[in-house]
Order: sequence, then C-alpha cells, then structure tokens
Amino acid sequence: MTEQLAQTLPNVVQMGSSSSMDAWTQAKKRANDYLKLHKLPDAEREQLLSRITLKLAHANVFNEPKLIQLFISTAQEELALLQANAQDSPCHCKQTETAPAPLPEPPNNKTELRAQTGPRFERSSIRVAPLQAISLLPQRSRQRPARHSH
Amino acid sequence: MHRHSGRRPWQITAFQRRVAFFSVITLLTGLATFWLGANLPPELPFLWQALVVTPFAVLFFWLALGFMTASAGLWVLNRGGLNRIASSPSTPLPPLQSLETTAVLLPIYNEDIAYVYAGLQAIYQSLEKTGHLQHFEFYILSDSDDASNWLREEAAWTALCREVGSSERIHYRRRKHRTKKKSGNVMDFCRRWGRRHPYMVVLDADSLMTGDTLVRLVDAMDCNERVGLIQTPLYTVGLDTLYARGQQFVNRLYGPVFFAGLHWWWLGESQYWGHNVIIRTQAFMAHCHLPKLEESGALGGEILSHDFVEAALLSRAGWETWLAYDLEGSYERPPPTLTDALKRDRRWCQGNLQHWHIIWSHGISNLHRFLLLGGIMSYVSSPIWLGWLLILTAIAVFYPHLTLIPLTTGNTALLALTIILLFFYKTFGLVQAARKHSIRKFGGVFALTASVLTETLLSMVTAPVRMMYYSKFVVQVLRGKKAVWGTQQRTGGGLAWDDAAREYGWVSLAGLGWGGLLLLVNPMTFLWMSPVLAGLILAVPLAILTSIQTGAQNPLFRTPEEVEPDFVLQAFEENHARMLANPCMSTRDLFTRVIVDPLAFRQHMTYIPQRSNVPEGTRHQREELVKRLLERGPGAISNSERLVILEDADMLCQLHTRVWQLPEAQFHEHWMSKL
Repeated sequence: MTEQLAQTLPNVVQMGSSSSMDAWTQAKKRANDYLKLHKLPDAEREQLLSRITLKLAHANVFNEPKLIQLFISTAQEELALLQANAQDSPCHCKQTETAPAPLPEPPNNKTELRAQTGPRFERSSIRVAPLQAISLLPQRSRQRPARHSH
Repeated sequence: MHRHSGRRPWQITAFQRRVAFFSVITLLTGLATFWLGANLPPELPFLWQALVVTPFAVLFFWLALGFMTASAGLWVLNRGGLNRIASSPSTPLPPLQSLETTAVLLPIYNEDIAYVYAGLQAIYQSLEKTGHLQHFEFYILSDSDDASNWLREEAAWTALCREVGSSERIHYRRRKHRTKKKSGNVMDFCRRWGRRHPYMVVLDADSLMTGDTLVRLVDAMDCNERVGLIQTPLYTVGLDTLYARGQQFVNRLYGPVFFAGLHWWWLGESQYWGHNVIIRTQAFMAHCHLPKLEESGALGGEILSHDFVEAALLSRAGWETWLAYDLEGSYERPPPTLTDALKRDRRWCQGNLQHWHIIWSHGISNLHRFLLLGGIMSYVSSPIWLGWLLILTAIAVFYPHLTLIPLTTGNTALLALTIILLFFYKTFGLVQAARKHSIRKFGGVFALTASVLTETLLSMVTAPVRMMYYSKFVVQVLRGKKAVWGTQQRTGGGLAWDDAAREYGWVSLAGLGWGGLLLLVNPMTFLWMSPVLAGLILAVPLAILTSIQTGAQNPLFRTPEEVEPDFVLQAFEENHARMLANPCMSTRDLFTRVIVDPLAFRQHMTYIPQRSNVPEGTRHQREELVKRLLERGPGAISNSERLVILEDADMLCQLHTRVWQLPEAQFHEHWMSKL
C-alpha cells in the first residue's frame, strides 16, 4: 500500500516537466541509498521511504539540490524517530545477532555519544624525575651571613 | 617507597660477584695489553705505541666482558635456579592471589594493524588457556597520526573484541597529543588508568608473550614486594630473510647463556629493554616520568632511549629490577635485513649517546652508570675500532720497515686469547643445546654445525660494515643530526643491486682504497687486516645476500620455534591470516567510508569526545576545510587536515549530512564511487 502510494506521489504533486520528475526521482534514489546503508530490513526501509516521500509531497520544491537536501534531512529525522521508538520499546534489549545495526543519532544531537573503549579515567598527577648532575666538588654550605645584632 | 636501609642478601652476593667478575676482566685486559705493548717494535715512537695500546685496551675490555658474561651464564645454567626471581618454567603454574588486574600495554604508532592485533589476540588466547585470563586487561595505546591507520585500528579493535567475545578486557585509546613518543604514551596510560592496575606489562608492536610467562611474572611481582621491574629475555622469531634467520638462530642458541650470565652479575639491578617486561605501576609513576634534557649540545632534548634510564631511576628509588633469565615465552621480531637493522641502530645510537647526561645524574647506582656506559660503548666502540685500524695503517705506511706484530710468543698468546674471547662462547651454546637434548630442534648435528659456521662467517664479514656505519652514526649524532623515529620496518627483504650499491657502495669503495694502499705499501699488514677489508669490500653483495628470503624448510639457521612452535606462535599465524581477510583490513579509503557510510560514521563518532569549546577562529578555519572538501572531494585535503576533521564531532556530523546532500555528479564522483 505504502509502496503504491510512494510511486503515485509524483502525480500528487503534479509536476509539470520531466526535469522536475528527474529531480524527484534522483532525490528519492539518494534517500533510498542512504537508508540502504543503514542495513534496515527491506520492508522497514521501504516503509520509511514512503513516509518521507509522503511528507515531502506537499513541499512544492522542484529544484534537485533542494529536494536532495530535504530528502536526506527528512530521512535523518525519520531514522532518529525510529531509533527513539526502538529504545522506548520494552523488547529493544532482546536484539539477536541478526538484528540490524544501531541507527545513527540525529546529527545535531548533543548528548554524550562516546563509547567505552576503556575504563573510566582515574586521573593521577605524576612528578617529573629530577636529573640534576652530580657534583664532584664539595658542596658549599648555604649559610646566610650572620646578622649582627646591635 | 623510600630507599631501604641496610643491604639485602642479593646485594652482598652481587657485590662479591662483580668484584670477581671485573677483576678477571681487568686481569685479562691487562695481560693482553701488556703482551701487545711489550711486543711492539722498540723503534716505534712512544706516542704511536700509546695510540696502539690505549684503544686496544678499551676494546679488549668489552670483548672480555662479553666472554665472561657467557662463562658466568654457562655456570648459572648448570648450577640451576640460584637467585631466580620468577618460578622455573618447568614447575607447575602458580595460582595468582591478586584480585586486581595486570594491564598488558600495547603502544603502537602507525603499525601493521593485522600483525599487531593478531599478536595481541594470540597473547589473549594463550592466557585464556592458562585459566588466568581474568587477572589481565589489555590496552591498545595508539599514537598513530595517519588518518587511515587510526580508522583501521578502530575498526580492527571492534572486530577483535567481537572475535574474542569481549570488549570488557581489551581497551583502545588513541592519544591526540603525542608527546615523548613511547615513554609519553605509557605515561599517559599511567596518568589515566595507572591506579587501577598494580602491575603493567609493556609490549612492543611485534611482541608475543605466552600466558605461562605472564602468569609467572605476576606471581613473581606478588611474591617480591621490593621488585619494581622484571625484564624477560627476548627471543627473536618469525622472519625468513637470511639475515633475520641468522639473528634468530644466534639469539636462540647463544641467548640463554648470555641471559643467564647477565643475571649472574646484575641480579637486582637489571637493565630494561623497553618491552616484554612487567613493571610495578606505582613505582614507575612515582619515579620514571622522564624530564627533557637541556637543548644545549647535540645530545639534548627528549630522552629517546627511555628504557635504560627508567631502570636506572627505579633502582635509584630503591626498587629492584630483575631479569627472569630462564623464562622462554617472550618473543619479538628481528629487523628483516641488515639495512633495517642499521636504520634501527641509527636511532638507538642517538638514544644511547644521550645517556652520557644521565650517567652523571645524582643518585644513579654505579652498576646502572656502567650499564648506561655499556650502551654508549656499543656504538662508540666502532669509531674506536676504526680509529685503531687507521692508526695501524698509518704506522704501516709511515714505518713500512717495521714489523708491527712480529710472531713472538707473547703475540701468539695474545692472538690465541683474542680468538678464544671472540669465538669460544659459541661452544657454550652448543653445550647447552646438547645438555637440553635440543640439537634435533636446531635441525640435527649437521645442520647445527653448518649454521654455526655460516653464522660465524657472516658475523665476521658484517662486523666491519657495522663498524663503518656506527662510526658514521656517532659522528652524525655528535654533529647534531637528528634521527627520525618512525615506524619500524618489520617485514620484507629482497634488496636490489642498485639499491645495495647506492646504500653500501661507499663502504666497498673505502675497503678497496684501504686494501689497495696496504697491499702496495705493506703487504704483511694487508694480510693481518684482510678479514676486515674483505667485509668492507664485500659490503654490497653481502647486503643483497643477507636480504634474500629463505624457505621455511631450509635447515640452515633452524630454531626450536620453527620445529616445535609454542601455542602463542601458532595462534598468531592463524589470527594473522584471519585478520588479513577481515573487511576492516581493506585497502579502501576509510576516511571516505567514515564520512559517507552512516554506520561507519556512527561507529567513529562513539570514539571521539564531544567538544563544544572550539575557538571561533579555529571553527572558521575548519569550516573552510569542510567547504574545500565538499567542493573537491577527499583528495583535496592532507592527512593532518583529515585528522582535524576526524577529531571534531560537530564538524563530522555536519560533513556527513552535507556530503549526502551534494548534487548528484559531485556526490557520485567524489564520494559514492570511492566507498
């Protein structure tokens, strides 16, 4: 159903020329390539793509670069939404080895992304070893000159 | 820890041994020098006599030191287990009591990732086999400054963790600010995680250690609270060029005798050879952070050969440093060719000469001062030898009527003594091989004999080549020419004639000129010097010959590790083959992949910190960089610019999205087609 809807969308937006049509196809293809690299199951990817296409159907944009930008940013938003839903889902921890790889965070997310590639730091300060040269001459005693008390 | 008051029993033993040891060396040197001096022609002026005798005495001292070390080693190996620090490898593995883990550190710098990770995995598996894996954690400490290497290391780390089924035990850290090379890398680990681990085992990129050896080292540290460091004997394995196999054979046959001998007179004041060592972390942190030497003069700046200095500093602070002379499961790779060995020696020469400043530092023990001097002498002895030969040549030219070395009884005795000191230790290795019934593992009697003879001949002819190079290195270092401390060449071979001629031609020409002069002026001296001259003249073909690959089945230079490899060596070979086939080792540009592929991008993002305080000016510069990248593709920016982008999370996020939003032609040409 969604597939069908996505395929009929160019009609919905009533594109006037073949170049606009090409732009639309090109942008959609780019979004599809982008989604493919996330290694989502095919059905899920197609569903996402249809949703994106539907969202942009009323955007009234016919310029190719602008359309590509819109498709990619919408794809990223959708992916972020998908991931948020997956994290909310009570069974998201039961991923098997065949489960799709984790999705990327939305690009503007400022949360701490850093993975644990090592244990937590326990900072220590370390003093540099002194390497003064030995002196073969007898050390002069550093006595202050005696003060004369009056 | 403070300096312990009172002398420990081993210190009394060490003192007695050193007195005896150096007395014999001095006696031998005195005797040889006397024989030489007494037999010089009386017509030779005193100054020339002094110029002949003095360098000879210095060189003979170090020759006698080597021989005496081997003799002591033979004695130790036959008496067995005296003053050992670690449990004997023939005894059952001790249980480990400590609840804290020992950190196994692998500092790397733009290394062959498949090789390095395969080695680490082999060590992991070997420890797993001992049942003591839970007592260890592994740290890959990267200093790599090549963007592709960095990304490959990250990807390989993930693959490695997946392969062994744990990311809890293997950690990866890349240092952004790379100060003080390897010693700075290790100290950075100490600063971050030093408190977590009572001991750390420092490896080199080509190190392999068996689980058995690691467990014995930890047990030795647990049992000896005054010990700050235990060095393991290093055995070279794994290469198949003639040069490398020769080194592996020598190391395996004569190594045990020398290691035992060094242990005999070092005892608790052992040297540290940079890797395959266990160190008490707190002692190291408290006393071994190296200062920068004053920049004045050719030997200033960062301390390059840090290991000897760190052992001396530990010792100064009252910690014992030992050599576990009979632990055998500790391996490294030799340089593949003579050229690679010389390149490494150029760096080591600079590092060792710097130690002249350390020798005169306060509080360093006398033995460590002597060991630091020994490191210097391993290079400075070459110009001394060269100078001595030039003096003999000058005498031959200016006093052609004099017979410099007449065949008197004294000179015959001197010649016999020199030959004994030079070659007799080789029989010690053979005795040991026979005693341990391991002649078969060296390829049998015939192969072993052929190997010893070939190696003796090779070492005789390569020694003058080394002399020339070391002399050149010493002069270069003293003139302030710095060595480049890059990644070491760990594989390869097959030197071409024109390359060899370019590299060694000057040595051959010097030999030809020198030999021609002596032949014309003083044929007798020419005959005496012919072994040295032959080595010089044959430098070019020698370099080619030693770089050829030999078959693994070749019985020449066979070692026990080739006949019956330990589990860790076998596991390494299997892991290496598997790692090479892993997609993360692909030669594709991983930078493009990280920018384009959302999963690779996401993966990389997890490794870098989020920084929000990038100054405005820097931010502006980086935006220019991104602009250039988007317009002209990944080929338009340099390695260092790639590093800047890969370290900036905000910039990466921006770039990832903007690349995907590029017009079709640009996107395909610069990015998608290269993915």
